[in-house]
This record gives sequence, C-alpha cells and structure tokens, in this order.
Amino acid sequence: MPIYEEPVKTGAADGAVAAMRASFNSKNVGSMASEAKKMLASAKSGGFMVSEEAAQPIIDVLTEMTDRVDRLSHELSFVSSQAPTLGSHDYGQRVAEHQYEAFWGGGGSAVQVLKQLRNVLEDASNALNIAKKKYQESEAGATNTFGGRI
Amino acid sequence: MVAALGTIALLATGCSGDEPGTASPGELNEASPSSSEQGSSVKVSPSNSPGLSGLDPCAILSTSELSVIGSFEEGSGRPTESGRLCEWKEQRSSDGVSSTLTVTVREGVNLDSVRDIGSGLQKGITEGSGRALVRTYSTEQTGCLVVMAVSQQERVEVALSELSGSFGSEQACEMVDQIVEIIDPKLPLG
Repeated sequence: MPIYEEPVKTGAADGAVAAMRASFNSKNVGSMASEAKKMLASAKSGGFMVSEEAAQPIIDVLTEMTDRVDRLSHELSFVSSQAPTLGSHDYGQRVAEHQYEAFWGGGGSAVQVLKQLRNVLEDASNALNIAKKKYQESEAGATNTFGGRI
Repeated sequence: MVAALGTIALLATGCSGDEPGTASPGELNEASPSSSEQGSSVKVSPSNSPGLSGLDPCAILSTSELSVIGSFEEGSGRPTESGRLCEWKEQRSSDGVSSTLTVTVREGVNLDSVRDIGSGLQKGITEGSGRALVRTYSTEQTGCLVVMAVSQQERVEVALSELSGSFGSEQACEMVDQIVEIIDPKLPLG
C-alpha cells in the first residue's frame, strides 16, 4: 500500500460562494424525496399493489437512472473537479473556484442534489418491489382460497 | 498475463521516450535560426506531449484485477477535459449499492495542480516504485482521488465514489490505494 504524509489544507474547499449555491434548488428535490417516502410507506402498508409485468419496466428504468446519477456525480466531483483551470491568471482561478463550490459547497450543491435524487429513485424502486411482492402474495392467497373451494 | 503486462510496459515506455525538439520547430516559424538548439527547451503543447499519449486507460486495468475491491462490469472509455478516462461500474448489490471507479490519463498537468476536494492534499509515494502521489478525499460524500505522477506534462488520476454512502471516504481511499499499486508498475516513471 502507498505511504502518505499528513494532508495539507489548501483552503480551496472552504471558500463560500452563496450565489452559485442558490442557483441549485434542493427544495424541489426535497419535496420529491418526501413523495417517494410516502410512496414507500404506502407500499409497505399494502396501500397499493402492482403486477410484475407492470412494475418491472419501471423498476428497470429507475435502476438505469440511479446508475446515471452515480456516474454524473462521480464525473462532477472526481473528474471535472481536476480539469485544468482556464489559466493561472486571477479570473481563471476565480471561475474554477466558483465551479468547484457549485459542485461541492455543502447543502444545495449539485452533489447534494444528486445524492437526494438518488435516494428518491431508490425509494421509488423499493416501493415498486414491495408492491410487486404484495401483489404476488395476494394473488397466491386468492388462488389458494379459490382452489380450496373448488 | 505477464507477457501482456510486458507488452503494455514496452508500449508505454516506447511512447514516453524524451525526444525534445522534434515536435514543434515546424510550427514555430518565427523562431530564430538557432531554434534547433533551443528545441530542447521548447515546451511541447499538451496535444503533442509524449508520455502516455495513445494509451487507453481501459487497458490499464482488467475486471479480474479490480476483483480485489469488488465485482465490476467491463470498463468504458471516453475523452474528457485534457485527457481520456475509463469508467468501471460495480455490479449493484441487492440494496442498490454500486461504486464508480475511473482512471483518467490527464495531459498538460502534473501533481502541482491537484485540487483539494475536502480533506486537504496528502503527498505520498507508491510502495512498488516510489512514484509520487497526491491523495485527497471528499468530506461531503463518499469518494477518494489519488493522482499519480507520470511526467511534468502528464498524470494519471484514480478515483472511486459511492453516492449512497454505504461506506466512508477512508474506505474508498483504501480501495483506491490498492488499485494504485496495481497500476503503478504499468506506467512509465517520469
């Protein structure tokens, strides 16, 4: 394994750029998140059921979207963040810092919004999986009942 | 396998040969007649830089080598700002967890311009060859980046992230460190 020295703080991660953060709206993703949570709770309590044929294509799409969100977040945070700046002059450096803050700067940053979005997709996917199981269970139960009577 | 590694090493060193002066004099029409002497000090533009150019980052790692840190799907390559990258996605676990790993060959930059992504910048060396490294990890999400020195004009970045946060950045760094040691002997030393 590699051997490292103590980390040196550069300060780049600490600067606050409120304007850039404000342009990212985490509120909308937040309300999406609570809707997905409601959907999950409803599925758990048997509030809705869905057949496998109906659920699976949606689950597949949700999985694909989760995958894309992962890739996008990785790209923004760990690849684009290291791209060379526009130049070593003051303006180029400032653009780079703004860009950096927009991606990373704590609550409301692009990374945080993507993380919330991932949770929404996971919750929705889980809800459909549960609803699918409930449907199968109730179908099996109905068959048993029906089969028992005839 | 050994033969394959040898081939990669040969190709890589073949590309990294220092041949200053031959790359650019033709484009420097306004250069003085003695430009051939100054040739060695002429900075080649990033697009013409030697080093790893032409090396496919997807060829640096196989999925079997990646199995030390997880079960990954085949890598897919694409160009990125000032370089080329290869991306591997971990097969999703039943609870939806899936890491993303990239190896980026970046041209025109070296270890001096690595940007801190939260933890600070940590200098290091590989155990294998003593290659210079800079490590930085996120304090906002799970992810770690180790940048490996290749030359003054080239570097290789290895990054791993897991957005759902099922493990921490320290663990992500341990995983990246393992990959760094696997890649180390396959890259030229600047």
